[in-house]
Amino acid sequence: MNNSTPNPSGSGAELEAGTITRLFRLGLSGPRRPVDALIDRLGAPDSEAWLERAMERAPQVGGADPAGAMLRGADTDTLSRIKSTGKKLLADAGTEDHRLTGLALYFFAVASALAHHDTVICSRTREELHPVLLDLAAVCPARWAELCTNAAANASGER
Amino acid sequence: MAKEDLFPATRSTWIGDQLRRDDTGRAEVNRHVMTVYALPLRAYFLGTSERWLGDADDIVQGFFADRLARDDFFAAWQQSGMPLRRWLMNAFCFYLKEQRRRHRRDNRGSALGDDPIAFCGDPDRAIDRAFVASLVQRAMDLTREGCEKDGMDDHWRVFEEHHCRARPYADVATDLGIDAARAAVMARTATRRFRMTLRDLLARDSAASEGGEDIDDQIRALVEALA
Repeated sequence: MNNSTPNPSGSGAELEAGTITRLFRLGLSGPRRPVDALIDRLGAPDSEAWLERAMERAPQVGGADPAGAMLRGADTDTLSRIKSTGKKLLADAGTEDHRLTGLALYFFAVASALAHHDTVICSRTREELHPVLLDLAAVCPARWAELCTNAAANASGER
Repeated sequence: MAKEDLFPATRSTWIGDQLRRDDTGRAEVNRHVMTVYALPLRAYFLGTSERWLGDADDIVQGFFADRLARDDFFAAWQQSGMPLRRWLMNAFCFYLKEQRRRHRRDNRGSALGDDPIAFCGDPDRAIDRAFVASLVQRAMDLTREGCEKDGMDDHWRVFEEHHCRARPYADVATDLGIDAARAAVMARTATRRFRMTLRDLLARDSAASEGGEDIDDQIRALVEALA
């Protein structure tokens, strides 16, 4: 076989053997991460309504509504407390819905701190957070997608 | 023989499910096999001592026309437990031998023997290389079609420019009038679709249904074998 293969996109270009291998590697899914359950839920058609309900029933932190605090970028102390609330909700969750709400609070608080303050408020590195934030941005409703997109850009140092 | 007898329902694979369905399912399977496996069989044919039999594309299409019409062809494959690409390669070998005998009958004066088919190099490796290239091509076609159908043409464009032409997101973003961060997210969405399509196509090569980890193992093994 030649080292190149006709590109199916119809552009006339050819795919080199190295490109084929790289594209083939994209098929690897790797071990399932905790955030994947949230990504799957946010990828469902009713995700906007679900996320709105989840944020409504999330416990307030210091009198602040967590969704508003995360979207507008509250101070990092508040965001850290929202993150801890999410973590606790995740640990104590009696239902899958509560677990997912906990995950949403945790990751959106982390995203908010990165997007608004360029600060990491969890133990994960920026490199670890970058793909997670891109995945979240790809499935979130618009306002949250923007938050995660900006956070991903800061995590990768693109901004 | 009833379709259920040919394909036990306990072995739920895409090909099995399609064949149990109806004639449309059968046509769908044949289309899939001809699209994905023509390139590997062509690569195999071009490596054999039987290249003299004719044009590679004609020989491969002749093989498909002959074998895919047989009712029990896929049932026999599933019972073998072999990856479909290996099963097809074996069946193709028999087909080539039949073609050689036919030529011998048609040209009585020639001194062609009935030797085993010789291959220049490692046939399994040649088949695997071409199989991976063909899978990637098919997955790209299907993902692009899906993106276009859902109005996500730009998502596909970012994916293709970044992953196939190695262009940075910032450059592609400039072309599209968006920022680089948004381009990265769009590529992620298209990548997710591409991954699911590729994995689905690869799963169809197995005679038994496989879990996600098995597919990862197969991808790693094929990448290693091609290195």
